Amino acid sequence: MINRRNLLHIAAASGFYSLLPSLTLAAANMDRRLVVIIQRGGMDSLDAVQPWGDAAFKILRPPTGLVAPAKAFAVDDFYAFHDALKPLHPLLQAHELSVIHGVSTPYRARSHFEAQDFLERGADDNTGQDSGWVNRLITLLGGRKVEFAADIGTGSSFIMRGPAPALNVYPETDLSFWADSTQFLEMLYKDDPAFKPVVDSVKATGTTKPEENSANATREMSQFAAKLLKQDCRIAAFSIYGWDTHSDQRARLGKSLETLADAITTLKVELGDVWSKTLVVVASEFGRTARFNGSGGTDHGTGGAAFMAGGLLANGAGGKVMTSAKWPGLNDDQLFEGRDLNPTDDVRRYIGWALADLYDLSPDKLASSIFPGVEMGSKISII
Amino acid sequence: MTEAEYIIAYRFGFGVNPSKTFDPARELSAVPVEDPNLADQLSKRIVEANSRRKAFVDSGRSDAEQAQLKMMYHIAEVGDLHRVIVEAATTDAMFTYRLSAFWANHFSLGRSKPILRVTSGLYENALRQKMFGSFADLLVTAELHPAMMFFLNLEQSVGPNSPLGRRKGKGLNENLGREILELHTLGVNGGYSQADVIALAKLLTGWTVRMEDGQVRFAPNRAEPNAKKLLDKSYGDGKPKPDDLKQALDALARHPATARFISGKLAKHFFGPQSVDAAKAIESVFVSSEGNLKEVYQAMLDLKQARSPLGAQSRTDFDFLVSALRASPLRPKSFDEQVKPDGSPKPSPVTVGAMRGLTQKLWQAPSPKGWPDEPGFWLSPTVITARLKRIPVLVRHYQDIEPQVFAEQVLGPLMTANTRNTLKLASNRQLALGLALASPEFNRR
Repeated sequence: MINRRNLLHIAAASGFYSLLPSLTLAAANMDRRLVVIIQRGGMDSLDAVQPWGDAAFKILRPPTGLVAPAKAFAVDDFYAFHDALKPLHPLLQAHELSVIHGVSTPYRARSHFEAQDFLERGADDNTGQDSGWVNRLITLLGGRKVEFAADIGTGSSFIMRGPAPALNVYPETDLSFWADSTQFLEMLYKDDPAFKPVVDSVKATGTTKPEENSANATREMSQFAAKLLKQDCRIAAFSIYGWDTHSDQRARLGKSLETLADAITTLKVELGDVWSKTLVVVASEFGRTARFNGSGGTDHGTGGAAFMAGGLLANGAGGKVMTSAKWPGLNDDQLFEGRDLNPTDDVRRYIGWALADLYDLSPDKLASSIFPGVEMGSKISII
Repeated sequence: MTEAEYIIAYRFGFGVNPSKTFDPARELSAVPVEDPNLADQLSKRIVEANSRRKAFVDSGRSDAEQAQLKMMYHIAEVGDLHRVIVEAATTDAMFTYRLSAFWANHFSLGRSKPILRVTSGLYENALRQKMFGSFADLLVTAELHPAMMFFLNLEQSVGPNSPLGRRKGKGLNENLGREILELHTLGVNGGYSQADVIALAKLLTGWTVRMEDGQVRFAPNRAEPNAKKLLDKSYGDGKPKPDDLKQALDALARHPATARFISGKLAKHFFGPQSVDAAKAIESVFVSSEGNLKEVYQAMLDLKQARSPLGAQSRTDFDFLVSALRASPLRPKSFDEQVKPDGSPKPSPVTVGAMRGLTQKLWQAPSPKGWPDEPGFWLSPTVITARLKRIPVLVRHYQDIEPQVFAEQVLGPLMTANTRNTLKLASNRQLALGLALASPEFNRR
């Protein structure tokens, strides 16, 4: 009997992808892969990566309180990971994971939606740029074929919006009715620029039914991303939801962190050898209040944390928690507006330096076209 | 039918059905009466969910009790989803249903906890009943609906200086306060501060859902005492009163930033993102009528833009499904729900089944901002691809109809030469019907 997995192999072997025009990759580092994961909702960075080295942390988040921090393993003598991140311990030990703590975008108010726009636009304010920074990166890298980049998810993300072509796909879609009739769709959509990309999406997903036994939609997206990245795709982005923990944070954050850990380990497993050429960037729109609110949760805050993962980190920042010059501190007078972790550095600077190394781009180029307005500052060695 | 009639039916309704006439203005003079049982049902469901939840915990979290609890959620959820799709697909008052869908998305719910599975499905009916009065009344109805209170954590927010807050060390949850200002009234640039968020969160304390009878009530022992300063105006003093919040919401409803924000959203929804003139015209009626929504809707219908060409906006998934169901006579029994041997509902593939395959999960918007009213979102390849996946199921339930006849009826003068041509070339009837539903004209409005 042919199961779904075999079908995938048959589809691959029968050369569907060989029909797609191959990319002309000029530079060797165009063989590198970038995965961007957006944590939508605002991750509580102080619970995910806990600064036990700061004496004030124990006062803000007492072990006997409504929501005692769930400490799993120490990263160094200052930080410890939340226990739901346990599956990432081997990556940390292998120097394939790092954390940037106490950072944010330039945004300082506390709206999810504005904050996500900042993160996805990559600019200093929300008015200048009409495209996402990943889309501008595709342009900069000269990606002209639609399969060079994939925005994976049930909708489309701002981060990949813009003039450069990119697939917009979701794994769980059975399109057998249309599979033999794509020429009619092509005809139906030929005059409508908004509908034209649908045909690419139908062609790409038509052969990629979801893997069996996948535990959840996020794992399916990781598997799908890995599958595309092993072919002609070089940049993939998807989102993980469930970070807006206004209440019941103990249970809810644990679940979301497990999902994140699973997404990253799934990417490593599925990418196989390609993992050594991969950089994964994980970021959320903001952090949350340093103190707990009245209902076992945290409200919208400012400074947060981002993660990076991938085989490329092993000779760079892998295994470390990075902060700017120093940890912002958690005493009342150190908190931003008396309530949030103070962002002492721009998260775009870290992503920027990682991209500079990943693609051999100059910091000036990054500051002018990917992250307008960012102060790149002195070099940060990430990969 | 004339092209102008098609435009009105697409813009303010769910498209064209040859057996029904559409007169949106008439709907404004005959305000719908909602089934009074729905309000009773809401409190009964809350009581039942609460007692089943207790029984589950008391039983030491037994599998049998858990199965009962889950079955209750499932029956309510599937039943509601089926009911709202059938209501919209069969109503003569399309404009009314489009408006209530707009408000339900403006005051959006999400799915953060199990109790929302039994309360969300009754929410839009409650809004529909109030959406022909003043915006201030609609605002109070939305914020103090149990589903909203559960969703944005009001039932967990306690005044830190209230008797309960002092005794149990409980405090504020600013979630609902922030979203009222940012998403429901003033808008994110409406000129409020973090201090206003806290003030409104304090004004909201005390309002809670009594789980024993499922009723919304004001419990003074949870309410933050003393005056709260919201947008330079002070509310309450000393002992907290239920009216403090209502006065504050009333002031927010009358604030010029609210008029601008709501009018902009209405204009965007019905006329597309670039409709600055329409937004201004709606805003002036919103202001002069002091938020009288019936006058606001009438003004929208009277705009010259009401008859301008379509295409600036796109159908949501819900609009798409309802329009597809209304477009052609369905086979008999297509809407019927069946029951599985274990007593659980077996949903119709054209209602619940179809909706669940689309991107838009009803009452489960990805964030409190609701589903984006952006043509780019609804025309993104993954959204359209999900529609393509469901189209074969829908056309299978259509009664026999010639695709050409169908397309002339449904798309009429809106149909482009290219679409007409493509349908002619389609290799079979189902494919041709499917292409009509997949066409850009059918998915835009």
